[in-house]
Amino acid sequence: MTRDRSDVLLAVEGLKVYFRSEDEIARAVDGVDFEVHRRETVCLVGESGCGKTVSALAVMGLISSPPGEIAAGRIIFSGRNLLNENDNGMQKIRGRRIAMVFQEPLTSLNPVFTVGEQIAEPLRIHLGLPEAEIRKRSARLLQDVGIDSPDERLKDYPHQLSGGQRQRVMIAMALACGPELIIADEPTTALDVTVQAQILKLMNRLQQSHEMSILYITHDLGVVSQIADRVYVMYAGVIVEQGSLEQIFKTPRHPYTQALLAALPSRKKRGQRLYSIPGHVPNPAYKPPGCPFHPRCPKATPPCRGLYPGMCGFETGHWARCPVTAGRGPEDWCR
Amino acid sequence: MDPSFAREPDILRLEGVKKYYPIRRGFLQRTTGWVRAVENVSLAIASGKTLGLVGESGCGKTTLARMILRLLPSDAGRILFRGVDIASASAKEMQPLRREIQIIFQDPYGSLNPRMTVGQTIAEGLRTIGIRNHGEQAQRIEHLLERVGMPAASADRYPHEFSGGQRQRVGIARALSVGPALIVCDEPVSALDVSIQAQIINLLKDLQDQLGLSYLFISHDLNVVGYLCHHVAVMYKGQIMEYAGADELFENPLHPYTHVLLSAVPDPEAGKKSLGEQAEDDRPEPPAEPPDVCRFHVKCPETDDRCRLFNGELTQVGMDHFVRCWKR
Repeated sequence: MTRDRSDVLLAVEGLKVYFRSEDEIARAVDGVDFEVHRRETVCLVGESGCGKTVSALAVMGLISSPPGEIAAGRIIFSGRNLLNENDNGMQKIRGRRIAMVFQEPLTSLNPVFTVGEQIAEPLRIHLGLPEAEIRKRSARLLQDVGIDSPDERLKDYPHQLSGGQRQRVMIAMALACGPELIIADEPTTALDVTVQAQILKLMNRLQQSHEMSILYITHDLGVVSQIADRVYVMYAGVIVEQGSLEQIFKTPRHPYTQALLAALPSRKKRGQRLYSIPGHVPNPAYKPPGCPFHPRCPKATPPCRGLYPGMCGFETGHWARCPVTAGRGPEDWCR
Repeated sequence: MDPSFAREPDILRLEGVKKYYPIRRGFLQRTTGWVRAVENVSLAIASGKTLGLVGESGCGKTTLARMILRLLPSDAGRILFRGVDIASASAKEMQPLRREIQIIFQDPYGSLNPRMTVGQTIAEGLRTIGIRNHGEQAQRIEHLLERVGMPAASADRYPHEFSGGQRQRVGIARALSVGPALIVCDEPVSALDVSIQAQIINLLKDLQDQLGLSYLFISHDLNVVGYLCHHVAVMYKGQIMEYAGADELFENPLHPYTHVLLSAVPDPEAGKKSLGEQAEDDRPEPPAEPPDVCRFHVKCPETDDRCRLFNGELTQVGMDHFVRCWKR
């Protein structure tokens, strides 16, 4: 799976996002690297508080400062470091070249404007289209995301739509300016399983027909298995494992990924006890030294308690931040 | 026509339970129709077992749960708890039954009083069963907290000091405080992270083994239901579409709606990108419908003229297997 470097649409390198309060610094994202290639769906998966949403907001330039602060790293989007862009420059990218779909469509849509008025906004601001053209395009967009009688739906207010339809409208708005990348932050969490499957299917189809990339953020390993090409597993502000969907689910290497999969209930595990990870996720202001997972890790060794583990390669494209599983020596421990 | 399994005694039996809500329109608020939230539901939960109730939001699962707890009066039918009809019991007759049936909610943040310590919350339950002595209360609280895996010191702390999983444990301790036999679990793990979810599921199983509890487990997550439940009832628009033992339902689903549900379930163990066969269709449907036709005919892949005119009966098709589809 070696890819051409020109195929990389988004590369996040060594990203650190800290939040300062009076007496502590919460290191929400603490040195994260990931890449999204053109025309691929990448999942960033982790439990609440692992830093996945903050990473996405950093890419969108939506970390408010203070209290937030991008302490280190680069965010390279089609050759440009977004961290060097000023507000004006970011506004031209946000919504036009990178669009975001949020978790809760009812709170992300404005209740006092019709669907049509809200879809028109990016078309007017970014593309400056004439009104007649905007109306035509808006209807077309709704049709693309599978909404029937689009001309009538454009006149509806968000509360008149079902949860699944609202999420479709959000996706239509994200698609409006033909972005190269869509960042979707748990877009199906509030939906029923059947509706969730429909939305995921829609995203798969649009990704292919529009040749876009999707960065999909979720805590749900089930969803990951339905949509991802490649997966990054996050824990306590760092990437602990990355690989293809099959590598992550079939041969997980990091003890945290292994624990997460063992904790998933399923009918095949009936009668067995589910694995439960002892302890709890560390407070981002007081992370343990060494590997952030070591206090909960069944395989922890003495070096894990003091040395920060480097990424170790397994197969092509499959990496895990665990020299112990990899059976590696001192060269894979750093810091 | 009503699912019953003779081997274990049933702790709870529902017979033809109904709940209709009026639709009122116009200046005079005249009733112009009815939303049939729960229609003719007959079910049974065997003592010491778990019945899973699955279906999408708005299908009537929670309405049914609320009627079982008598938080909501039913319009018709019988709700028999150990042979006593809850639906027609007087307030006085209900009092001792309320201890026997408890509930755990989905949202551990919203279901605990933020102004009461964990100890005070649990003590409230203890008082209703006549434990008023402070020393005895403290002892019971400590014991209950230990039972759900919380340190005794948490009794003096407030809900906001705990994580979601810990709060859910407190909710379980509160439900246990009155010594129930049946617990209605309304989506108890769907708001939790994977690792925490596993802890709570393990706890619910342990409590069932130790205390012989029966559960009505309401969930939309079929992976959890398949892991935890002995029997499963599939509900759609107020009606039970299929009911069977868990293995039977997953291996031999008969109702087209059950097929749709199962095909939407992710299978992380497969390790390859997989999405079910269902159509990309989520048009909202009119809430009120013509009388007795199949509720699923609009979206059913196998629908034909007869489905638009008649509704199937819930029919026994195998041991412990019932389905509402005339084609089966």
